[in-house]
Amino acid sequence: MVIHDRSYSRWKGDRAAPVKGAAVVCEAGVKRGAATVFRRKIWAILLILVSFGPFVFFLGAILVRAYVIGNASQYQDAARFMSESDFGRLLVFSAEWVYSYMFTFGRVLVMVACVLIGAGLVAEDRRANALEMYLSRPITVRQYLLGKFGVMAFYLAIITVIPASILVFVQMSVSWSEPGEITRLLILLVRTMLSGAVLITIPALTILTASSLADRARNAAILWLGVVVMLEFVVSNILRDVFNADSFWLLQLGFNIAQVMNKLLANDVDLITTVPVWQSAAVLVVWVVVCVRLLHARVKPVEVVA
Amino acid sequence: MTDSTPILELAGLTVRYGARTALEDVTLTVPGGAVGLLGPNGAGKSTLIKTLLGLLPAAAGRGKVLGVPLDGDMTTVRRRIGYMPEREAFFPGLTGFQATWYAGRLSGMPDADARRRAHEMLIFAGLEEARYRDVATYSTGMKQRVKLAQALVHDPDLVFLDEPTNGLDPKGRVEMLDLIRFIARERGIHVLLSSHLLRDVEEVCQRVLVVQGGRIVRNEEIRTLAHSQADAASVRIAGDPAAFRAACEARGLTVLEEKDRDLQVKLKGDGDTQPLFQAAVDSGVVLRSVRPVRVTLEEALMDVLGAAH
Repeated sequence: MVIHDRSYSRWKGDRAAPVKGAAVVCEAGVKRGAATVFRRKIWAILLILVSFGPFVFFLGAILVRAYVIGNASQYQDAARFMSESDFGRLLVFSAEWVYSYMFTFGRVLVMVACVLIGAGLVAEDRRANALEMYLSRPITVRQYLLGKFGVMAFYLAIITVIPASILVFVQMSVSWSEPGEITRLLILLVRTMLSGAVLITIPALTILTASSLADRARNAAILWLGVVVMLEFVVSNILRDVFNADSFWLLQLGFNIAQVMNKLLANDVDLITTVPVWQSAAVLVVWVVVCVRLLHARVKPVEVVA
Repeated sequence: MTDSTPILELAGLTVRYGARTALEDVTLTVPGGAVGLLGPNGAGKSTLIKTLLGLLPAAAGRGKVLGVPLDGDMTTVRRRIGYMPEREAFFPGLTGFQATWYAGRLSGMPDADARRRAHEMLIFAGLEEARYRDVATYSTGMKQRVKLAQALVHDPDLVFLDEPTNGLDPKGRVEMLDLIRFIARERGIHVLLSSHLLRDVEEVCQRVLVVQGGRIVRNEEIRTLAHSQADAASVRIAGDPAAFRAACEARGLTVLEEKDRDLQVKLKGDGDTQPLFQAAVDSGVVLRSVRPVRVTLEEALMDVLGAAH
């Protein structure tokens, strides 16, 4: 039996069906990202353990507390301790925990994921002249960029907002007896998603832009780390010390993200600064606009050298 | 688009790279079939293809590809166009199969169809054994073949092939031209074959567009470009060439070329060969053969390009 025609046969499929360009680019990018991570199995296992260790810890804490309180007749002292003490209350998954999980702990993973997966997203396509291949098909620059952004957003969501949201869900599932608690957790879930969107969008766009400015994943990673390190730890700190002005905090992307996330999570966190949140939000908006413009300028099917 | 709709219609198309004009006032209509795009390096062949794909904007003029205006929704028409770029271009990190499947998916094919067609096209292109290897490890010839498979995976109505035989060994070149000829003649796919190699175009195409300095200097059927010159004859004689030449000139004929006993003689206005025979009698030579002079595509092209300078 001939499985495949050895000659050229015409395709009789639907030629008018809409092209889901961004979804196709995203799907292929996600698969390739997984292949990159799993190329060295030991590193992949370590990365997964590090990524989901805190999730398992929080999950355990929530379930143990719920179990002890649910079986108060058996564990009277422990149940009283869990429900009334400061430590017990600390184990309830709250906005502070969401922030700690996603930002304080998660940002290291975000940086690793950006370097490992994001750095090559556009750079490798430029290096292999694949942009010409993409854009000579029914794909627009916008769909291509959306697809690539989707790849990065997928991986960043897996290590930040998705586990945090699952923990809020789990907390909700063990709190059915308290209607007030359910309402609080539902609101927290929405806040988690909004703040997660900020945490994902800025690094994803930044690494995509760095990737579009380079022609190798390695160079893009160096560029991205250079920009982040310079802004986060050098320029901002030096200018702040020299001029003794809090407004130089705005040069730190991490600070701006933290400010906006805390506002969205309604966390009353003291960041030891007088910079208003709206200024941080404005800086992030400007950053997004600059990144999008740069991406549109760099992602072209044909390099025109006048 | 109906069957009678020209595949290309351009009117005054001008494309610029900054201050440099790459295509100037290109006006043409191409009915279809296998069309060669000939011209020296830097003439504007690749620029024309990229403009037709909507990858480069036109500075002036307008045009239609498969009946769709260039300033219209080019994503629609790109579903019906296949493109094989000149330079090495591939989706990084993918095998031949994955790259071809991906090209199909990007062209709007459902997953299952894209998989089936990817296998078929790779087998058609002669990459059956190598389809599960990373494209980056392919030889130049294999990369050309996988580019062809990617250009054809979505079964386009029109395919742009930019220098498809670049870097191929003689056997690979023949096989590549066979594949292109097959899809054009047996499957009715319109082909625009860009090349600076005359033989490639001559072997595959029925029509030729000659590009020189960003302008289309000729757009016609190959058989009319490479024609028989009716007013000249190629003559082989036995006897004294000098005496024959003198006799020809005495009868009002001009000897264009003389090489040993082979001469090319320009005949009188209506191409009458009778004076040739009379000149042979006058000079006492024997005419061994008299044939019309054939102008090869190469000679015609050199004439065209020379005139364009």
